[in-house]
Amino acid sequence: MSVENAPVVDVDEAAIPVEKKMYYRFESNDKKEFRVSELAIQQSETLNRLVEAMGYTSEDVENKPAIAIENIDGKTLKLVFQWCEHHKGEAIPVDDGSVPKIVEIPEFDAKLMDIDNGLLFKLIWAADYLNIVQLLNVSCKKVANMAQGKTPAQLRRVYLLPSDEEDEAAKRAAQEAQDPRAREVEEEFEERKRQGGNSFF
Amino acid sequence: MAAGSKFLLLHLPDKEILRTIRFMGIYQKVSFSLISKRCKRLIQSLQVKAAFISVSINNDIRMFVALPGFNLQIYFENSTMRNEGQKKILGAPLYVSFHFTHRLERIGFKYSDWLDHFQTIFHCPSIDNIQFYYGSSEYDLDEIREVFGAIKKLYARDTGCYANNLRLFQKFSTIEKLNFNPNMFEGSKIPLSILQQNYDFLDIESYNNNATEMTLNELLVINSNRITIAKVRIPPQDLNKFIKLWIKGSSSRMEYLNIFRTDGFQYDRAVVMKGIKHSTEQIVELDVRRVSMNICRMDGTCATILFAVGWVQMLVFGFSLLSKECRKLAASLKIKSYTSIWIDNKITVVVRTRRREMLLDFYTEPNMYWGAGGKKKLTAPQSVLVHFIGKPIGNEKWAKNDFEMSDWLEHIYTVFNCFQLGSIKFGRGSHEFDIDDVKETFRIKDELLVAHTGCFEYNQMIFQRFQHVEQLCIENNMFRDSRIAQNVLVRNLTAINAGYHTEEPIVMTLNDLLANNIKTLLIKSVRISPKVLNKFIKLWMQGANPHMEYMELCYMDRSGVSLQSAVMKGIKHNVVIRPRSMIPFFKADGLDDITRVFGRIDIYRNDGIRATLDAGWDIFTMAVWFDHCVV
Repeated sequence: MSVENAPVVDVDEAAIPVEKKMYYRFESNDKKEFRVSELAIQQSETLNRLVEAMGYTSEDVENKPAIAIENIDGKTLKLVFQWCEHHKGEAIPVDDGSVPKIVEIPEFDAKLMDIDNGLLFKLIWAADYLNIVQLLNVSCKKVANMAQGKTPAQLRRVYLLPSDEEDEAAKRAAQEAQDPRAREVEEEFEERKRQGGNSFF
Repeated sequence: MAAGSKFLLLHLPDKEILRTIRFMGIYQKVSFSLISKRCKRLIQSLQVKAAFISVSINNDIRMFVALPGFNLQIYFENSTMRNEGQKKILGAPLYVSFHFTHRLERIGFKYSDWLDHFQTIFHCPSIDNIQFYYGSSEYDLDEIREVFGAIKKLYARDTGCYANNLRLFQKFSTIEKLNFNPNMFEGSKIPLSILQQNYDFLDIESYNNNATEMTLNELLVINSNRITIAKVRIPPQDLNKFIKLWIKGSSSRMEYLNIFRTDGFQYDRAVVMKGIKHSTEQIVELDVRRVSMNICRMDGTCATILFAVGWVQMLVFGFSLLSKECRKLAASLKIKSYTSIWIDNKITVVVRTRRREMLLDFYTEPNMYWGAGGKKKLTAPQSVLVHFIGKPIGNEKWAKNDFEMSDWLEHIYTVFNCFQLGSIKFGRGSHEFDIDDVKETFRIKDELLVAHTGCFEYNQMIFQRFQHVEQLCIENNMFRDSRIAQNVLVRNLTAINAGYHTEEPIVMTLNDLLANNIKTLLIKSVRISPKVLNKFIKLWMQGANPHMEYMELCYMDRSGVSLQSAVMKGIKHNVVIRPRSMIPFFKADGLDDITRVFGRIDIYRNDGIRATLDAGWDIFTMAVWFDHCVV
């Protein structure tokens, strides 16, 4: 049958079932709630797996408590979800540990990340926890850009990089914190030395 | 963001610390590695591996680190401290610079610390070679040896003191490869003690063809495996005796001997081969200037001797075809090469080694190979014509017809340690070959060079068949209307390099410029109006051609005056005058090497990306400063 001869059927558009977009609810550790689209969640490997495992229906999403993300605060989570919504549906790069050949920071991302370094730091931690590869790429790229044209001394200041001596001191402090007796033993040893004792035992 | 605020990089998760430093440029990576042991370990864990590190010494000391696709040059400004013997002391350098533009700092680092640092972060435990030039006699050789440790190759030239020159060979006696100039010795007389050493490679290179002579005695005491003697006089009678003695068993270590001169001198074969039994069974002689001969030693070992203008004995390729053992021996020489294909009415495999360029012509027999479709098929070639570029050597023809073209390629790859074709060039007449056969035989990813094949349809078929190449080099006349076809421009290529200065120009319209999706566009001869460039720049500033990294157009409508004012009309820009030492380096995908950007006009895209323009009277360049383009 040719196309021209096909019977014409009137369709009542209202009768066609429309697949409802699903929005999940998440709660930050400071009790702020966010509604995030299913497509945006796909940018986060962690959340995507979580919602798949939960198998929520639209009703569940509305009736059950919001999914708690306990180690990310509301301010950071807001940035994360803004980013995910903006980039929803985009291809997710494979994270094989190699540096992507070229990562440009899009205008939206640049504006989103026009924040103080403390918040940028939290954003990277959050993106790492939620495993959002492209957000990690752009945010780490932004941090790497801070190094441009800097000498080692300037780099040390920008990234607050400790010297070898400071690293050593921090290591010793961590060891002592792990074993409080070590400090006591050391002090006792020093005291005995002052008293002229030849042997500790 | 607060200006000058700090970022606690090392408090990020380990994976993200590494991700961040991977994004840094090489200078930032090196700077970062100098901050602390932990930073050094982080950079080391990126596994950026140097192919080799070499050191060059004259009045100052430089270090070259060969990284993938990039050579790092580290310059050490020496301290002026001298010890009692008036030698420079290798304490801490006054300063260290990176490509002469960026300072590297590490307080208290001596030369040995710097060396150790680079060797560690670039995973290169030993120095490949050390080069001594005029002025290096100011240094204490013991100290140099101690600092730079075990060296594989010594490259020795006159240091400015004969006694010091001799000491070089004593101090570096355990090397594997030696390259020296005989003119560095008094009277250009090479000490026998040097020739007696057993090196894997011994290269003797004189400054000119008449400055040095070597005698039979000197040849006989050479105890190295692979020997090259360049621009040195060797009497033919001595060569004759040398070959006779080799047949009797002398110079038994020698695997390869290459003697050449550049003054057009030709050995008299009759004198050199007088009284020597030889066969030419494997060889078809085409050119009277060149003869190849096989000789056999009393223990059964064979050698191929090639005579040319000068004398070159090359036991590599022709030798490698004799047997599997010979092929193994040839491959063991570890000659690195770059292989490419030229196609016109024959197919030429071009093997480019460090020393020479060898051409192997296939499908040279007329009236053969033609298939049913009226195209030549790549069946087994009947013979191979071998010749060399830049060397006064004639042609040779190998009649070997049991190799398919793919077997030849595999053989060449093995013998010359090359595992991928660099490029294919289609020239005039190449339309005679079946394009599908060509595509199937020569799988190419990197670079395609296309001239007008003689058939416009065939030109187009080349582009269709080789869709996945990264770079394209084309001639202006290969398109009917002197315009690059849109279907070529819109491809996601790394680079197009079009035309020659002398050719009829390629016409570029605004649409052509806007349609192109190419990172680097180089056109040596273009016809384009300043108005078009002006509009293009304005549209780029608004976001057009977002991936373009570099464009260089040499335009033909030379007015004799600078077109800068016409090109930049109505465009907000800054004119930046930089001192010569501050002219920035630039690299882009598709540019062969790092370049310097001499333009003085800076413009900004609406997203903040900067570009530097040069709009002179005959050239327009535009370098876009993406992060990865900054050196």
